[in-house]
Amino acid sequence: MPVTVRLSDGTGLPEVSDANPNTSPQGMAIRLMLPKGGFTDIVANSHNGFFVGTGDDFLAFLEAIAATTPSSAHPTPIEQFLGAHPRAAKVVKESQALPKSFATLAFFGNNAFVFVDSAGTRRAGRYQILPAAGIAHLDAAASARAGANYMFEDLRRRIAHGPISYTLAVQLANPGDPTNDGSVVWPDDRKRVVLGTISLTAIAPDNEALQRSLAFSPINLTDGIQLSDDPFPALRAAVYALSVQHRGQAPSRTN
Amino acid sequence: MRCMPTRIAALAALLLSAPAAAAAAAQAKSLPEQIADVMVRRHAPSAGPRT
Repeated sequence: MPVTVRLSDGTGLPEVSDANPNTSPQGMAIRLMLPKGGFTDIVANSHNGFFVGTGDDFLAFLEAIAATTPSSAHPTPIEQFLGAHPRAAKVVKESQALPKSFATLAFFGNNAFVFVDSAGTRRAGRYQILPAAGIAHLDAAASARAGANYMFEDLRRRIAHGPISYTLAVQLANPGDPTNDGSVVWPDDRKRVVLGTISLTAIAPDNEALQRSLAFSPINLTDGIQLSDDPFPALRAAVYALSVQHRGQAPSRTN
Repeated sequence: MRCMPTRIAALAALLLSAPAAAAAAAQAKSLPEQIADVMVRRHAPSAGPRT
């Protein structure tokens, strides 16, 4: 099944350095082209557990970031927010180490969907995309040497030598596991169903144009996959649609 | 669909002080619009994620 994958730094800042710790969690968006036509998308990031579980909290998180400047008095707006939202603080704390490579990052869907089998059985689950190369981060010395484009240069270098592979899996919820809050991580002992292997074999020849035109959305589902009571997929879809509009209006840049 | 909130916001700007009008305009926007606005305000001009 052909796939198109978009890997991205966090923040959304187009010129942000790969070596900036604020670019973690990184993003992975996957479009699977279905055998009978059409497609379905998976949108994930590189931390198991999202910052917050509600749209209102996410807006407050972004407002706190935007309101914080180098001259802000302590506690700054973002420090106040993180103090009141320990799961968001945990994500920030655990995202400080720079990744060695996109090929050594695990990605997590964080939002729950309902998977329905041929007998009609419904199970809630979250996507996990696990690197075949294993998870690895840079040490302090390597981080200090990391260039502004090291992640994307590494990506091109690795793909030139062979596919970058990930296992695509779904972590299934046990009864009682919350499905409406992507900031609550389910325990590791939950059953994990392997769906297949994703192999990245080439950089898209029209990469620059494609990254502007592609609009991934977590609500681009297919038969057997449904929305759960998690409010984020619909919210993300609406925000992404607006983001695509803004991106289309932004000046072009070179990478 | 967005014309009516915009017109309401414009009317509010005539009647209220500027900060109050800004707050009223924000209230007229949906949550996704407010999230997109703050991201653009923080990042502008943005060409989207670096990919």
